[in-house]
Amino acid sequence: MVISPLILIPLIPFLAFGLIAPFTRLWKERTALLSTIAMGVSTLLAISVFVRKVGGETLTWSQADWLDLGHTTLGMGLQADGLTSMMLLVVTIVSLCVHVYSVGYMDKGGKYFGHPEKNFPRYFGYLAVFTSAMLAMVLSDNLILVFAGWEVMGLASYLLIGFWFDKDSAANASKKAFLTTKVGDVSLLLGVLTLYGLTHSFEIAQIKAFAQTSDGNGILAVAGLLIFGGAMGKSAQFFLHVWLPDAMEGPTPASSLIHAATMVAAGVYLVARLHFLFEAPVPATVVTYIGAFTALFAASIAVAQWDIKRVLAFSTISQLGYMIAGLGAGSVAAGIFHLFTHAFFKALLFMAAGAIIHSVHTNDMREMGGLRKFMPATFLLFLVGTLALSGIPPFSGFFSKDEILLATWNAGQSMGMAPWVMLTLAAGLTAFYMFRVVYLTFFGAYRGKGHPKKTPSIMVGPMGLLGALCIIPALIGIPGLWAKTGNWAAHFIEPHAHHHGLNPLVASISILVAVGGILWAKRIFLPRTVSGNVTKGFFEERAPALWRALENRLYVDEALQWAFVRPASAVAEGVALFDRKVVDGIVNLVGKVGVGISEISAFFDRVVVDGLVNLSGWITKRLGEGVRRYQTGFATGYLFLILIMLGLVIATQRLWSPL
Amino acid sequence: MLTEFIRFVVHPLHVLIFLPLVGAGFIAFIKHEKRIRQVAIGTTVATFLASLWVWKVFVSAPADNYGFRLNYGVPWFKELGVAWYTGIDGISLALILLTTVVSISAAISSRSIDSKLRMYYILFLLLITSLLGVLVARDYFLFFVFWELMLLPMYFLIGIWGGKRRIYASIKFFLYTLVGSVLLLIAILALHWSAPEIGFGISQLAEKGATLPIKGAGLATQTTLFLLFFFGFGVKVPIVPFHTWLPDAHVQAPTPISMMLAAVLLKMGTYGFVRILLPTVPGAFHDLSGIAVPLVATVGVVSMLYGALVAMAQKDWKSMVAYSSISHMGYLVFALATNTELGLSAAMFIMISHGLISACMFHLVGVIYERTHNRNLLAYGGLGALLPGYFTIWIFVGMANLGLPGLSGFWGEFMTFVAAFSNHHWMVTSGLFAGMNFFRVLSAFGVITIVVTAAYMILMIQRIFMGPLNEKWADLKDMTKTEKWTIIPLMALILLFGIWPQGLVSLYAETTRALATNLGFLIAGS
Repeated sequence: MVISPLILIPLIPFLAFGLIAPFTRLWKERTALLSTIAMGVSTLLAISVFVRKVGGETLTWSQADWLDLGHTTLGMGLQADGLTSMMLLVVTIVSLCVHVYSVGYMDKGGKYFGHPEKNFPRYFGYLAVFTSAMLAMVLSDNLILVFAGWEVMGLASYLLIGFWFDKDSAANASKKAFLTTKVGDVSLLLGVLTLYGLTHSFEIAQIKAFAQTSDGNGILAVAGLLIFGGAMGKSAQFFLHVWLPDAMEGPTPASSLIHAATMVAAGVYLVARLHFLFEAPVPATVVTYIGAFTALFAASIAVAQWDIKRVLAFSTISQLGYMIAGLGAGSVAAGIFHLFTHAFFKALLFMAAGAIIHSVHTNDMREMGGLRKFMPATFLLFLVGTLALSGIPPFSGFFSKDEILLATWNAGQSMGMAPWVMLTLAAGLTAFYMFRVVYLTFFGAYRGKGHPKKTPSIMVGPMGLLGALCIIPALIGIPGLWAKTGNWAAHFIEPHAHHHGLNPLVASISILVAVGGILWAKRIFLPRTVSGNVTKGFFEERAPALWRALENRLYVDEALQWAFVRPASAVAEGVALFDRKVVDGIVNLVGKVGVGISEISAFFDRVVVDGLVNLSGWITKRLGEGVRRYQTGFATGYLFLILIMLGLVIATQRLWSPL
Repeated sequence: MLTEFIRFVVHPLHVLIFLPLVGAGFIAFIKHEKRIRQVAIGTTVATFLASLWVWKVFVSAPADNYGFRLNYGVPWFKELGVAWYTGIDGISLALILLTTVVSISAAISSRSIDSKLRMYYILFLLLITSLLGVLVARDYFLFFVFWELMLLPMYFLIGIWGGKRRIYASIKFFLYTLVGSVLLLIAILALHWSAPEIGFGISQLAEKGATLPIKGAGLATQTTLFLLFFFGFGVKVPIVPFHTWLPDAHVQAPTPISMMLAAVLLKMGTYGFVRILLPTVPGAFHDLSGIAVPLVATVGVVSMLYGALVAMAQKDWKSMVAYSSISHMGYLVFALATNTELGLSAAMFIMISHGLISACMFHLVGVIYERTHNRNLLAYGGLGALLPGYFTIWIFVGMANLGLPGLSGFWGEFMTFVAAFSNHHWMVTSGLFAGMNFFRVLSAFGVITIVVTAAYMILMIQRIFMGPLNEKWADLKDMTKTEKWTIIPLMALILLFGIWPQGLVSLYAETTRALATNLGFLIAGS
């Protein structure tokens, strides 16, 4: 039997994890090598699967009896259609880049492993198990493996956010991430169960067949929205987004992989995979509006952050909102193509930000500036990523974002133009906040302490590859190229759907808005970086209240704390008090009524138990001293033995007598 | 008589249940402390090997009408209709294996015991005999003898080797479970007197029970028997609100006894549900207008959520783990109420999985308690960097407890909810709530438990391991090799059943399938 590459793709990183996890002390820094090699093999396999899919071959693999659930025997199946094979490419390539980059990043100072980060070996184990879980999730043809991968990714994310767990901020952030996404996970579980209740199956193909026989309203829409609740947690949609900015406490390469490119896009992938649940008007509208609102909301907060990673985190939330809105507006191709391009440029931006942090030892942009001179390669790559994110042609982000704007534009008749308006505004803000970052960090004079280091080449290499991937995917996103209508990527992801061509009006508006954002940022920030007084900004003076609110993330964290977290712990304390005072109180009362029995037991304990203990000690002592003593005899001892014997004889005689 | 005696003794089940007793007999005459420990551990290993032998013989042995194998029956107290009647099916087999596996770990973990060793190990081994005895008994009298025999060593093990409030805890345990036993006794006698000619055979009386009227006057109705058995066994499970003996018993009990208590003793109550309650009063469960299904399901979900919430508020580490047990037993009770084969299977899965996980958790709490004599969750902090091995193992076990897929804890919970969603009784067919029913609404409350469970486990990990190091513990040493290897086999099983659930399910699937068929539970999807 030939082993399918599909099973090998997630299995190889998992084996690397299995080899690393129990033996970190044995492997030491070599875990980096092991994990990276595993990732390299997986990447090659993923590319081969992608190429075969381009050639028209859809691979599948299945194992029939994983679990017999009584009603249904659950098989474990994998498949690689267009959607999956694109996801495979994203996950493996970004993960490989992050692995290589991390070798440099997690090595403070010394030339590779000279002065490694504490727990360095564990770090690569976490990366490996994460990648494995994500690959298994996108390959799965059933919802159980999707859910399993989903949860294991959550664990990896928790461990990586809390990687420096001796810092309270990191510990709190990891807890917040785990529990916030858990709320979404439970919603997802209920959704999966509801689908099972309808179809008696966990297989996506069977559920799809069922969904297509119905109008998609009623219970099916409820199931869809429950599943979307899971996606909201993982993909950080408003109001379950609060964990993602805090997740930046983790090592930056991990943020780049998990909290920018791949895991946070899992929710988007899930909505795309189960898109048949979101075609009815109600779920479609809900999804579109939540996505578009999240995009605008997060973009506006990103404007007012000083921490470079937080800007990127809110940018990620905003871009995930785009993807979700695109899916809601009916275009799987648009949402997933944006996921694809975004993964590369956002991973690049995070890595570049990581290179900056690695060099200046702070996240605060107020203490940066002028880095253009110290790290030219990083500057150039950051600029490429920024242009892609801002949606400037010919970078990939323009084409994918345009598809989404077009989808919401076209959906305007059925669900209103508001989503398109919100997304277009967000596009302007995106260009604005990204160039704010560019000016604050790279232009003017250096405002920080010490002398910034040059970026090591092991970190620049992967960034260079990702930089190239900010442009290359544009080729498959150009409408009309290698496709009659729409672009090649859309046909690859959604072969049977109808795709729209370029809409010049929508495209020009998006370019205009983006260029406007850039120019505005230049007008405000360039003079300030030159003068060196960046804290006296533009908005702080004109709209101080709004600025403070944006700086404090519009107080959503506080609101959630007040509305959910505190009541939950109050309920727990209350129930515990009830348990102690009322339930146990009644028990103790009953106990006091029976105090006589207790007294007897205590007496029994004192006299008989200790008596027995002493007795057994005594018997052993006597027996140990041998036959010499047995003639003298002790009546009680004999009596005790005789009693036991007698009991045994009676019981056994009853048992074995032929009568 | 001699041939009967030999036949009796060499029967695999009797070898199994009396091996610990033989070991205890040896220990009574050993002087060296070290040798006592060796013999005790050796005895648990031998018992484990015996259970493997039983498993091997079981697989190829023929089954009787009731699906039991390796049966042995002789009249005992004839005038009363009592017989020595033993035998096992897949359900008992799975629990026997759990008992023997966990008892090795508990015996090794007993290194922390340092006073009155001989007595301790004798009682410990006696406890194992009584547990195994309950699992092989097919006669109510024999069952009840072993059932009561469990109490005795447990009472002394907590009362002599326990913590500061051990007397209070042990008496509470004793009295509480005694009340449960009284209910059981009434039920057994009522059942017996409804057909004295049948005697005390559990399976035989179950057949009789199934023919009893569901409601009516007198004790011998299915509803009354249901209530007696449900609360009688429920105290042992324990179900809310009869649970408060458990946290006290756990907090006061020495570590290895907590392991046995959580891993195996609690399962005796749920074993009673599966072995006795369900088969004896199937009508009570079928009659959906009756009290049984709503009561059991509600008690299950309340126990789940209530136990988890109280666990979240605990400051005592062991107490938190104890409430976690109550919560997980709630899943099991809910699973049984779903009237599905899958629910039965889920209940079995939870028994084994929770047995393994809770034993690990109590061992782990004990490891630190032995060093610091402090169980206050707020007294630690930052141990993660100091004790990396211990931290890693806790993450593994904690994740298993909160139901991470890939570890065994997940499947029990998952199967429970799937079972709930596959029961279509009382379905609302139109209007806003179309597609909802009693089980689904309860499940919607039940899944909140998953979040609360994650919350208390993650909170615990943060409090103990994360943040800056509490300098008070700067000299703390990481787990020793022995401490690690005590539970590594259990962890391996948690992982194995997490990745390959069928491996566990296939142990008992035939039995649960037959039971579900007899009970008329939902088997094939509809």
